Amino acid sequence: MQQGRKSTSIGPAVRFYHWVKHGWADFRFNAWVSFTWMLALVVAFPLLSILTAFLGEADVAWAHITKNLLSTYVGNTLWLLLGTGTLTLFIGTLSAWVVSVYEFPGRRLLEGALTLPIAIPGYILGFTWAGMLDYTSPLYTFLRNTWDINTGAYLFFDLLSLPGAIFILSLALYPYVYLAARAWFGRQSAGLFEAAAALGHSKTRVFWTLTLPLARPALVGGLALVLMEVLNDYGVVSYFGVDTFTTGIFSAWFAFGSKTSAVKLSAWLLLLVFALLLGERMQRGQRRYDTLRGSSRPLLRTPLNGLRSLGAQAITALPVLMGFVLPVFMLLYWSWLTGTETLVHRFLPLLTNSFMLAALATLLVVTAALLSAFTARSFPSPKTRFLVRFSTMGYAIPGAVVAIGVLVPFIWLDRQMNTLGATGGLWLTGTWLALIFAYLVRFLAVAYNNIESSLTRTSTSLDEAAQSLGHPRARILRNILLPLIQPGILAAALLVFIDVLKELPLTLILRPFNFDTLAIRAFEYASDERVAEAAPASLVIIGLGLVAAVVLNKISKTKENEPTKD
Amino acid sequence: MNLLKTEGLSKTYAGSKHAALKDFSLRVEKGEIVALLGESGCGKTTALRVMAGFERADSGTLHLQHRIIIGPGVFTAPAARGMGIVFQDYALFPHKTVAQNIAYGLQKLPTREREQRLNEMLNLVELSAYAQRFPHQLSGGQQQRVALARAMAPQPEVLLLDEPFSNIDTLKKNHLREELHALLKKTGTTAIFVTHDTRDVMAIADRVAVMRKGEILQTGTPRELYEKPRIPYLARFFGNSNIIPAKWEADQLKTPLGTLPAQTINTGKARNVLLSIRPTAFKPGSSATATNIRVKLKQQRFMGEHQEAEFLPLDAHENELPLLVHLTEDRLLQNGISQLHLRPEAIHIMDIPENS
Repeated sequence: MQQGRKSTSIGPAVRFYHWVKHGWADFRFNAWVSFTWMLALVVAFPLLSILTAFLGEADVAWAHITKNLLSTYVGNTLWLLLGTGTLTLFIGTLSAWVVSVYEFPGRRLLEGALTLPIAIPGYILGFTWAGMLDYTSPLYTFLRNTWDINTGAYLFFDLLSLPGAIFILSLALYPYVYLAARAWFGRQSAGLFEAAAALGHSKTRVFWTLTLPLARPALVGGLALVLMEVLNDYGVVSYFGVDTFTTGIFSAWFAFGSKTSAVKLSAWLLLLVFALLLGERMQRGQRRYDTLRGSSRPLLRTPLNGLRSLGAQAITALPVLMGFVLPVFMLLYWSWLTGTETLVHRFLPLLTNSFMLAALATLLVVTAALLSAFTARSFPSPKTRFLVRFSTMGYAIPGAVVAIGVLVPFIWLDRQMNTLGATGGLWLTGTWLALIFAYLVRFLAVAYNNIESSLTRTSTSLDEAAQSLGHPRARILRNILLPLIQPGILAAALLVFIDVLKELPLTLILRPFNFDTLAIRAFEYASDERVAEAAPASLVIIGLGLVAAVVLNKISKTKENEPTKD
Repeated sequence: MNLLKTEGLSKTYAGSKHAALKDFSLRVEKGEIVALLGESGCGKTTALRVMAGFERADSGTLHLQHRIIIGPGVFTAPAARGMGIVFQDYALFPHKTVAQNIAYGLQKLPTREREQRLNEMLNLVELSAYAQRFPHQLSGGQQQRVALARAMAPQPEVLLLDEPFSNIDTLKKNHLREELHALLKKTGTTAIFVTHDTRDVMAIADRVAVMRKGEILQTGTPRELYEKPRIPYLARFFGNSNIIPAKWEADQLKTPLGTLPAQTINTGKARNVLLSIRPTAFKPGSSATATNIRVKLKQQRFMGEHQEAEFLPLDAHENELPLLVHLTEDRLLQNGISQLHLRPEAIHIMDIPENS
């Protein structure tokens, strides 16, 4: 200070003048960053309300649960994780390897088709398969009538069981591993294989000794997503009668009416998720696996003939057939059976309901994601990075947990407002508000990641150029960045829209009384043994998922063609 | 009067141990073109970004005309500084036309004046015919001119350019250097530009400040830096040089080559110094007015415009010390040279740097 005053003779008056004239820049600074603070608080809110469970008193229901049910929940959840994890790793890695290394008729088609099951939510796949293998199903009837095959009550085994749930979840989720593995295998340089071949190793040996160890981080990344989805699942396990943490939360809340137990179960599930995330991060470690960047030539696929080609086709076609083609045909057949009458009367209001909710949630989520991504870009600092990472954490938290975390404090708030006498209803829990709020928590990351990645692709010097030419940040965002990242925003919006549309557990808990969405109605019909009536809603969800996939594919292709700035 | 003056600007990035910018003091006259030269990571870009207002200095001041831009408790927003910036990647808005790009900083002008200024700028950079094109439809050189026009349109007092030629093909660089120099001089623009290429400096800069590890090592005209570098690092920065240890006593320099004459007289005690002798300073043959050195050819290389030869001085005591010499005529080498002569004014005396 002393020195500054001596050399530049800035008096307090001058400094004040400067502050008035130019200090506004600092205020704007605060406005953006404080928004990310707010967003982080929004996410912290349900988390904190769950974590207080460890402090809360136990009640009778909790005593009952710990004594009679908890071991089942833990056991089933762990078996599901283990079984689905193993099976998805197997299917995903094997099919990705085959399409990446071999050439056979239909490979290009199957390479894309292998991702299709991702468009079908697990619970839809679950009840469709259950319906297919039902005693009265067309398949069973056909076998019985044509060849007089009668295997008793079950066709092969009782699908509605733990192994059945593992089978369904694996079919629905293997694409996560497949995508991660294929991206990795595709990036592999031919040089690696040639070097190994020169040393006298076969392709299979290279797979076990080089490819697999090198691909481990990618595979585990895909596996982590699978396990996260398994923990999030409510529809499949509930339909298949497998008691896990999520069904436990539901029965604690709806059957026992015990808030404490629901919160406590949520807290334990949350710890499991954190452990999983930590494990994934730790295995990544410090090692670098992609040392072959730069001069890598893509791998040339080995052509297969005859039986081997048939084998490759079978390996890659089976997951698609079982995870997509068969179920979709079944749903189409059922939809045709239900007829137009039901469609028009029950279905259209449902559709508008669902779409309006999803559109509203999408608008909010994408806006929040855009603002926080722009803030993180404009004011890069450890603080903003932490805030952003914290506020996008919701995607890892199971929907049921988010729902309970939002519901408990909202109920309390509603009661407080009612005791104050100002209102006479359930302003928060009885409306879309709680639902939208919870979607924001859960799906912010989906939008954020897409928007952030397209923002990263535009040089920050654009912002700085506009800034130096006298434009405020809000205008820079609107005039310069928004037009440039439009595809990214569209992708984010599509993904969030679909996610909201097919979301089940969170919506089931938080929906206002008598409010149905496509996902809920489909699930309820199926649960009432009216699988055929569940078909149209299911098809809409699947169809939109496919549309989104096509659009996203187009967007990512145009991105590749753009000249990239570095 | 200096147009721009910085004093003691310093900046250490969060999480870094070393200062990115240390006591950066620079004066720029009106109409002058000053280069900040250095290897990557030397702090030149940080200096530019601090002056432009994209990074905040930890301490120090920046005056522009009579205004304080950076000082204790003072931080002027980038737009209010009166500085135009040309970015390394040009940062042209890809979805806006050339005209829209150039007019983007003229938003405060009334429509008529804006049009007028835009046309002036388009004429200046000779892009009137391209006004409605989009940036990706232009060549690298044209893009650079759009970026220049956009930065200059609001009539900034100083123009800052970040590595203006790093995105240009080597073959076109010479032409574009001339073009930029002519344009800046024609408009009387005061400019500071950052580069790692001494050829940019030689072609464009009136003055240059060479930076290393966040500090300015030496400031001067390009010729001064070439001929009178303060330390060996600077001598090597502008081409090759023979760095020879010597003991300086009165008007004599005792070196492994023998005793050489000093241009200036050391009035104090004898002290150790380093000599910088450019490879072009040696001439073949002997001369009565210069120091003659007997040598033996060790190696020669054809370098296109000249021959690069290494000679071993025959009378050198101590260890071998090959002399790097540039010769323009091949013939002389084939004849074999036994003698080189060195003009005394080509011997430059430097202090021994503390840390080497």
